[in-house]
Amino acid sequence: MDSDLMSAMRTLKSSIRVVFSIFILSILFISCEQSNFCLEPQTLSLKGGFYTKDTANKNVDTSVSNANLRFGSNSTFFTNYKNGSKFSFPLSQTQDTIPIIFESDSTSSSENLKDTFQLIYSRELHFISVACGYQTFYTLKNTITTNHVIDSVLIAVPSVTNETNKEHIKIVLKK
Amino acid sequence: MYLKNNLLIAKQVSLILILGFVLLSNKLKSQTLNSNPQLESDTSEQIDSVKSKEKVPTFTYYRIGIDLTKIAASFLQNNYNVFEAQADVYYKKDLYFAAEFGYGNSKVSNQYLNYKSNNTFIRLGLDKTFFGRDFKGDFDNAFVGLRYGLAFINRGESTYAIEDIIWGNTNGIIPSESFLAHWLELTGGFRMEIVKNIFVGWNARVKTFINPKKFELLPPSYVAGYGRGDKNTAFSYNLYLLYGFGKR
Repeated sequence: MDSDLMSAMRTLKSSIRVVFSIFILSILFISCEQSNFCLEPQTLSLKGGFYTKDTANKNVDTSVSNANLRFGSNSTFFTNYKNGSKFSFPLSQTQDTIPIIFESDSTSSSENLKDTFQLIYSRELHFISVACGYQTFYTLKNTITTNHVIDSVLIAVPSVTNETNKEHIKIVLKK
Repeated sequence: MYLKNNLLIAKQVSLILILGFVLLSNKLKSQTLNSNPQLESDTSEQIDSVKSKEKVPTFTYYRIGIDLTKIAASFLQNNYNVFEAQADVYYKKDLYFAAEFGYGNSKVSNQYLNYKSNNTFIRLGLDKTFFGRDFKGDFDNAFVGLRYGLAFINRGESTYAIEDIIWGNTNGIIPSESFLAHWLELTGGFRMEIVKNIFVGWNARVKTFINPKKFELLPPSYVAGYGRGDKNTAFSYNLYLLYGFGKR
């Protein structure tokens, strides 16, 4: 009889403790289940580098002294590169072919110092998160370029995804 | 953000461990008490009950209950509702069969995504308890268990928008889809009888989808029975209030 009472007391005591702790635990859990902030960008950039051919016909890193890359709808956006050999710009999420304008000397408006190349690719929707929605992944298919200052535009890594440190295209310049 | 979440998970896991320890120490204390020679009559009674238990037919004591945290969450969260219930039956020795089932819905409504989803689910599995009985008809125990989960998901049509100031904004529609999700889970927790035939207890669960590919295009933000649909591995917990009946 005594031990029955004892075990009943034990059960009651630990029950109270446990129920109380559970309460705190539940509040903690409920208060932090979902994050509703979007911290990832919806646009991805294509990355590339400038090259020239050496005597052995190998592509070597080359810096441009004062060049522009124009992109965006109606080519209204541009990035200026001074003494840089690497570049990046976003691809369109609505078109499969986009024109990019390369101006080898940003101070000159001469057509002979300019080239326009087309990038042709396919697009695929990629889910980021409930908070951010979608972004677009690309697979580069082809490039077409005029040849005033550019020798060729090569595809190095065709898939443009959220992986960083990939060089997707090489712009090989004439000497 | 991720770091903050990890910290919170760590906090929660440690709380679960503390709770488990409270129960464990109580159980161990009572079991050492029982092996004390001063309580010889108690010990022999326990041996009797063990002997008689072997003759008792299986599937004699049942429990059915609801998850209180899910009811609270349905009120507090405005992007999902969920109801979860559990039934288990004592099989024999240290084994219980458990079935959990429920229903839920969720919605996503922000500047980039808008869609609704709902699902029913069932989880089936076994629980293995740690401790012997302190007295005849003692169902207080801690356990670990395995579950197989299955959910029937309906995801409604979704509209999405992508902001792009350089090339122009995009928007579109992802068509609705009905599909099955299934997953495996590992669980642990305890049950304690607070009043005769009324039990409380919690379960902590870690689970992983068997078919994560199904969720790549657009996961429901909340899958009842699983948790966040955009996570291939999820943690969840339940706080159950159960009613027990049958022969002890």
